Amino acid sequence: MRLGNLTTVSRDASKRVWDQFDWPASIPLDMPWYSYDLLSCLGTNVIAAMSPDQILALSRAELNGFFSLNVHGIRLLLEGIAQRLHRPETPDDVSEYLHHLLDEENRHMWMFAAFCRRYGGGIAPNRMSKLATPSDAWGGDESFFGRVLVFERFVDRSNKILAEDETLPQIVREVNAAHRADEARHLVFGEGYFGALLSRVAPERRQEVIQYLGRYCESIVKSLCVGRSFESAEVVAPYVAARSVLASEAYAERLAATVADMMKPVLRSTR
Amino acid sequence: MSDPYRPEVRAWLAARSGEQQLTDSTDLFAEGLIDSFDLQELVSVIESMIGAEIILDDDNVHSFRTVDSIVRVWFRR
Repeated sequence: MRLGNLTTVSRDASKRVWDQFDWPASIPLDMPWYSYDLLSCLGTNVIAAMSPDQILALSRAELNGFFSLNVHGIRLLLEGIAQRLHRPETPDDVSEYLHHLLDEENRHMWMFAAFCRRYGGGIAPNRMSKLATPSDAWGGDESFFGRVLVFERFVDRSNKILAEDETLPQIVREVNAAHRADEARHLVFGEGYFGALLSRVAPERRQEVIQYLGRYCESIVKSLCVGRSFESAEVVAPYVAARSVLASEAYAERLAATVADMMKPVLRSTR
Repeated sequence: MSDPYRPEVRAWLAARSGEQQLTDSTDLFAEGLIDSFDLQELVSVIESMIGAEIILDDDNVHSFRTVDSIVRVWFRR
């Protein structure tokens, strides 16, 4: 991991975002805001019963849900990084880079929040619970940086699809492209540092962290399939619809594929 | 309104936690029977039963501590 290079590039990129966007007054409602292939109910009976206008409304709600997930996820990341910045066990070059990561993530959080407030009716509630119980493997730096790694992998994957989807509004594509540009560095750092942390723990703990991260990945993806979005799309019995999607075979297959992709850098780190 | 849902909530929790001796007053958090991932799923299950959104926060999270409190808080509103 060449942290010096990452730090230099971060410094060069630091002026972006704040004045990067030409926010339009509004975004057309007669075009999708979220890629069709990312819709939670794809391939289920729920979408089969929806009208084109309902699908457009769902795409707006699910984009807002995705950007809100970014806001909540980044806030947790900022809290965790800030706690670890100056610990004696944090290497100097890691501490140096984490300052830039904090700076960039703060700007990303502002960008996603700005979109949700301007066009999405506000930031959707956080669906991820922080409840800690004996069966949680929540604590420890390896768990924290593992969570950051899989979260960033997930959002980067979606950002790529959304940035390249020419059916979406320009501002939606620009926000996703802007996020991707910085996340590439974060992923390089995240995989390297997580691997280093994981190599220092006992094999039993390593297995516990990997299992835990697999469930964490599932909860990230599932947090985007919510009754509130189906309610926005005026689906009948929206909260039942969300449960029905979560229980469907089509959803289970896509969830498994998404989680497998999110876990790739984690599993690479164990080799 | 509450009682038709009680057996369903209890059955879901028993299946999820694998705890066959689950009672309506078992402390799910203290016993480690559900964790944050299970709780996220449970919220979605209760939402589908009550037909409304639950915004989980530090105040209402404790309402999910027992079957009794779940039914009392979310099915008698």
